[in-house]
Amino acid sequence: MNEVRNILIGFELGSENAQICYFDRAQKEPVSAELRVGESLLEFPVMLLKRKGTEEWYAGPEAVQLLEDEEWLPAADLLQTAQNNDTQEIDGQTYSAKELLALFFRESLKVLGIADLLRGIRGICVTTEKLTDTLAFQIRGALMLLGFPAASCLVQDYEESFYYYGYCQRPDVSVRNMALIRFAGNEVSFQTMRELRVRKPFTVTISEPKSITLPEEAEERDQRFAAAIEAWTERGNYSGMMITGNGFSPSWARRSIKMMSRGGAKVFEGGNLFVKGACWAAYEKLENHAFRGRIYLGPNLIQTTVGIDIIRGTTQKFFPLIKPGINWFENAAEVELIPEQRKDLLVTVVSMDGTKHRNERLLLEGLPDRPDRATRLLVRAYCTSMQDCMIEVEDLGFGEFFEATHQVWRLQLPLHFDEELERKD
Amino acid sequence: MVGYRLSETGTAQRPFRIESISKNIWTIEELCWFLTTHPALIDDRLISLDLTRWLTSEFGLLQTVLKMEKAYKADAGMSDFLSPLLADLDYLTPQELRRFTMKLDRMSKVPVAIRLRLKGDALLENHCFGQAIAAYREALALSYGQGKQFEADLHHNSGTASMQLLEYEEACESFAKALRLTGSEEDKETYLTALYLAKPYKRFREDALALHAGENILREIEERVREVRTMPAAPAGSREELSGTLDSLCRAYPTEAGF
Repeated sequence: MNEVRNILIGFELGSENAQICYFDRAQKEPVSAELRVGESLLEFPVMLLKRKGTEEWYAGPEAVQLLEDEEWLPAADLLQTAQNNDTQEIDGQTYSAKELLALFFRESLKVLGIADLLRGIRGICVTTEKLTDTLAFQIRGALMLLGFPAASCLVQDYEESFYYYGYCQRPDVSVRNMALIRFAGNEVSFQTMRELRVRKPFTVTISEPKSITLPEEAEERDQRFAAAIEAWTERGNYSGMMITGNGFSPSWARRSIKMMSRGGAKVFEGGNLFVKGACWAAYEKLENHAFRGRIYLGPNLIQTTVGIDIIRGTTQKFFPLIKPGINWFENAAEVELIPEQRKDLLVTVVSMDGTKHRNERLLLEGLPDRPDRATRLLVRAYCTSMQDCMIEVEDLGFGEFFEATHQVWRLQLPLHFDEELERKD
Repeated sequence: MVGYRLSETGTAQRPFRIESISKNIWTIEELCWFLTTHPALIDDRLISLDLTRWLTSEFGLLQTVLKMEKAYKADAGMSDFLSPLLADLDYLTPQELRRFTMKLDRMSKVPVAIRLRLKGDALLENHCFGQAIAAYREALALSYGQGKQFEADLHHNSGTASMQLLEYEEACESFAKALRLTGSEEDKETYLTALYLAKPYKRFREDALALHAGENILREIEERVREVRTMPAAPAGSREELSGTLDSLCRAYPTEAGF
């Protein structure tokens, strides 16, 4: 592995298999982790094993073989356990879903050969097929249980990984629509990623999947698939086609490939699209920040800004705490403010298109009287769901001049706009 | 300006010590606040390369420190040394900075006795009573030509500081000196209050008689002290009792002087 510090990780957590890659800054792209020296093995089972009577755990490519050894006890379906927020008893001890996931991540990441995970890894983005609130909390919670700071723990679904993968390719690949074609044996699904460039920020959407079942026989398979591509890509306005999963092979898909390439679309095929997309996301969100001006409108994305006006010199500037374009479970901020002639916190909620806004006020009752600019407030903002966010303010005093009371005030804010709320302004 | 400032420079690993008030500074905001609200306590330790080294090592303010060190080496004065820090970090607006530097310039031109008095008042406000008394004594030694009221104020404030240190004899002496200089009813009342707290009742009555203090004043003093003593946190002889009784007895230097 070429990276030794500030490592950015993409981690695909499938229902049966997982993959890991890291961002190689010299090559300027994600690189899959080598699971066995000299072999192009990319996947390993989503399986966690405990050696009986010890605190030794294992997750990795040898899990299936170790399962045959009675010394090793398996944890049942990790994803399902996390989804249901269940516990499991293994070797006489009960483990929560978060603990099991944390162990799985810890053991899996050993394949990278990093001596100290916390010091070596800058950020990790986990991608999984379907992301629910519970699963998002479990995955982030598991990473934080390992000691990673919240801001370094990213999680997204496959569609969002596709978004990052697509827009991190060469510009000619993303200049028009891009398609995600997923094979699962004979089942094929097709989704289109479109960018709307009417106003900034440009918004990107991914369509609901359309699917068909293909026959086994090669020629018929190719014919059916080509016809489906023709129907799905009606006007042919595609610059990139990305194929993933098991069941596709260029050997039977000659006609289909021609159909996909019409209009100059670039066709890609590979089994690590999502894990690389997750790695691109980690790179983009934590380091590169090149996606300014573009937002993916995924199902978990916040489309509202919540912020405060701060003094800069002789002017006031708007400082966002909750930002649009970020998944609600990652959307958080923590800042320290020095209030000037104020004993409250005034926040502004703004819609993504900027056409609606309202003010909300949190009165800091009980905040001691102190001279001006001699109070430090810790302000934490985080989303509690797609609909609401929480603002917390804590009094930190002012160094050794004025003792902190650590009193905390809270305000729950709806993130949506409706007539009743707009009248508050 | 009404609003909020964002604290962006973080907290130091190692603080900067303000010896005059025995406090540590951990952030830029604390430093700027201290400088702008306690100009009388800005001394050689603050106008020094120690400060610039601390700003560099803890906060990496290289550009600002370069300007400060240039002013320091040119012996340009307090306001030129501190202006880059207060301006570059947007702590003061241009107008506020102008007012602050004018205040510093005025302070540098007043007689030493007045500067020492301002220092003593700032120390008293920060509960550094021993150091405040030392500053007042120094000011008294140089107070020739400042007038009786100025001298009386120094004794008065010194007495207040002594009371806070529970040094009653010294306090009564200081208040007595203030009274001898002014003969004012206010100073009489202060002296008698201190006597009431510090001395046996008999001595208090004897001295009150000698000063021709009216019964009204004596009753007021006794009532005020009794009221304070009934508060649960202010038993007789406690600092809280003193604070309750002498709370507003520190005489600040007139604000119209521009400080």
